[in-house]
Amino acid sequence: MTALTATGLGKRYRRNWVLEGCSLSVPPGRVVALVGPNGAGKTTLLHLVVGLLEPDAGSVAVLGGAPGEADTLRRIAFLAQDKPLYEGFSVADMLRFGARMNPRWDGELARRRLAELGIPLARKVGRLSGGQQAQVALSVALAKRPDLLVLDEPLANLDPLARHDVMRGLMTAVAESGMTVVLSSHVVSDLEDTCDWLVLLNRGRIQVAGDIEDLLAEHRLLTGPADLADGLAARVDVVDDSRTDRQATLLVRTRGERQPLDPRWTTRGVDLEELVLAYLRRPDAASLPRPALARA
Amino acid sequence: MVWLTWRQHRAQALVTAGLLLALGVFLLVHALGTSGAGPEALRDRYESVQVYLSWLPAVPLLVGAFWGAPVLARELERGTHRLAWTQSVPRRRWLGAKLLCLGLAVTVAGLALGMIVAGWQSAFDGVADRFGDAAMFGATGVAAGAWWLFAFMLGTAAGGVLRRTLPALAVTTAVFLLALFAVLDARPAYAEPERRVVEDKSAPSAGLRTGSMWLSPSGVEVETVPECADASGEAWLSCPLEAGYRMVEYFHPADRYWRFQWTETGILALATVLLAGPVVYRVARKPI
Repeated sequence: MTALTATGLGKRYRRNWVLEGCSLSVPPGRVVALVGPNGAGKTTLLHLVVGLLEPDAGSVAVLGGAPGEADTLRRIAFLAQDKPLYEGFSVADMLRFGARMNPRWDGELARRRLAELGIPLARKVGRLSGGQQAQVALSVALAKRPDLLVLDEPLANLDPLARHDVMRGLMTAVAESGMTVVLSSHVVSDLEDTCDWLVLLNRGRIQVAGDIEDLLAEHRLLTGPADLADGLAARVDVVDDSRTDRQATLLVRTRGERQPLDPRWTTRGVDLEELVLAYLRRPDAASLPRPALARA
Repeated sequence: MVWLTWRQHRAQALVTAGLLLALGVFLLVHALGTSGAGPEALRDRYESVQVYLSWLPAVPLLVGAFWGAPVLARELERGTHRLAWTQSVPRRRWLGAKLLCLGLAVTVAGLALGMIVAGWQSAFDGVADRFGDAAMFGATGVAAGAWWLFAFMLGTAAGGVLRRTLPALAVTTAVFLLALFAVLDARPAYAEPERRVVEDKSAPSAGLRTGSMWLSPSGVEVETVPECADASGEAWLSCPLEAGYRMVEYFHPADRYWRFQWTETGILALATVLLAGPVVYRVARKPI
C-alpha cells in the first residue's frame, strides 16, 4: 500500500485549472518535499490530500482510503499554512481540543513536547510568539499520532532559530514513529537535509517526482566547449542548457546508462537546489517515474 | 464536540443567560408590585414597561449577529476551519453537532424569554394583550423560540456564504428586518378574520383586530360614509352613527392565539430549514 496515490488529479477554480493531470505515488515512511514556486498549486494539492477540497478530475487515495472520510481523517494530521489555532484558547484548551476530537490522541506526548520547549499550558495561544504557536500547532498535529502528517509551509514566517527548532522537532518525531510526512515549501534549502522524496510542482503540474537520492544520482552537470554541446544534446536528455560564446553548461539526465564522453567535458554531480532550479527554468522538461518504477 | 461547542460559544451563552436572568428578576419584581393596584394604576404600571418590551421582536437580531454569524464566518475568516475539519471528526458531524447544540440553546433561551414575558403579562389581567399587541405576540409563546432559532440560522448562513463576520452582520440585520416586517404584515392573514357588527361602542375588542368598515342602513359596507364627507372634528366621530351607520369590525378572536402561534412557528421553521441549505453546502461541499 502506498501512503499517497494520485491519479490524473485536477482542481479548477471557475474555468481556471490550478492543478491538472497530477499522478503521483509515494511509498510509506518517506519524508516528501513538495516544492514549487508560489502559486504552483502546492496548497491546493495538500488540501485535496487531507480532504478539505474535492477534486474536479481524477482521484486521490490516502493510506488506501478516500480523503475526508472518518477512517482516513483519524490517521492523518494536517498543519495548514499560517498554523491556525484558536486564539482565545489557552494552550491547555488546545490540547483538550485535540483529545476531544481524536480517538488516537496522545496527550502525554503533547505535554512532554511543550514542557521541553518551555511553553506554559496556561498561556493564551494568541499571546505566544510565532515560533511558539508553530510548536503548539505541530504538537497538536503530532499528538494525533498520524500515519501521514501533512504540513503546508511549516517554516514560513518563522525566524531562523524557530525554523531550526520546528524542523528538529519534526525530524525527532519522524524518527520515533516512522510516519510518512509531506511538507511543502518554496525554499529548497529548508528541505535538503530532511527529505528523501521530491515532488516538484510547477504551474499546476507535477514536473519531477521520485526518491531524492536516485534523482541526484541520475543527473549530472556537464561543462565543456560550446561547439560540442549540440552533438551531446542529441544523445542525452538535457534538462537545462546555458551557454556562453565558448562554454556550455548542461544539466543532463543520464537514466543510469553510461555515456562515453569526449574528454573535453568535465562532469560533476548536482545538489537538490540545482536540480530543482534547472527543472523550474524548463517547465517542459519532466522527470517522472515510468509506471514500472512506482514501487514501494 | 459538545465541549468544543461550549468552549467556543460560552461567552454568548453566559451573556444570554445573564441577561435573561436579569430581565426575569426585574419583571418578577415589577409584576409582584401590582398587588392591590386599581385598574388605572395597573394600566400605567404595565405601559411603563411595555414601551420598552415592545422592542423584543428585534432581540433575535442580536442572536443572529452574536450566536449565528460567528459559527462559520469566524472559522473561515481565521482559517481555523482547516484545523477543525482535519481532526478525526468528519465535518458533517462537526456541523451537525454545532447546529444541534447551538440551535437547541437559542431555542430554549427564546422560549424562556417568552415564558418570562408571558408570566409578567399574567400579572396584568385585563390590561396585558398578548395577541393584539404585535410585539408581545412575537415575544411570547412558541413563536419566541422560533424567532430566535430562525435568526440564529440566518446569521449562520450569512456567515457561511460571506465568509466574513462583519458583512455577515450587515446582511443578517437587513434580511432579518425584512423578514420581521414581512411576517408582521402577513400575520393577520394566517386565518380568515371573523366579522361582527359593533352594537355597543363601548364593548372592548378582544383578540387581533384586522380592520373595520361602516355598515349603511341598507346593509352595504363602505369604507367612508358619504353623508359625513364634510364633517370634521367632533362631528366626524358621531356623524356616521347619527346617519344610521353601524361599525363592522374584522378580528381574530383571542382563542386563536395558539393557532396563530403555531402557524408563525411553522413559517419560521420552514425558513430555518431552507437557510440550513447554504450552511450544509458551504461546509460539506465547497470549503476553501
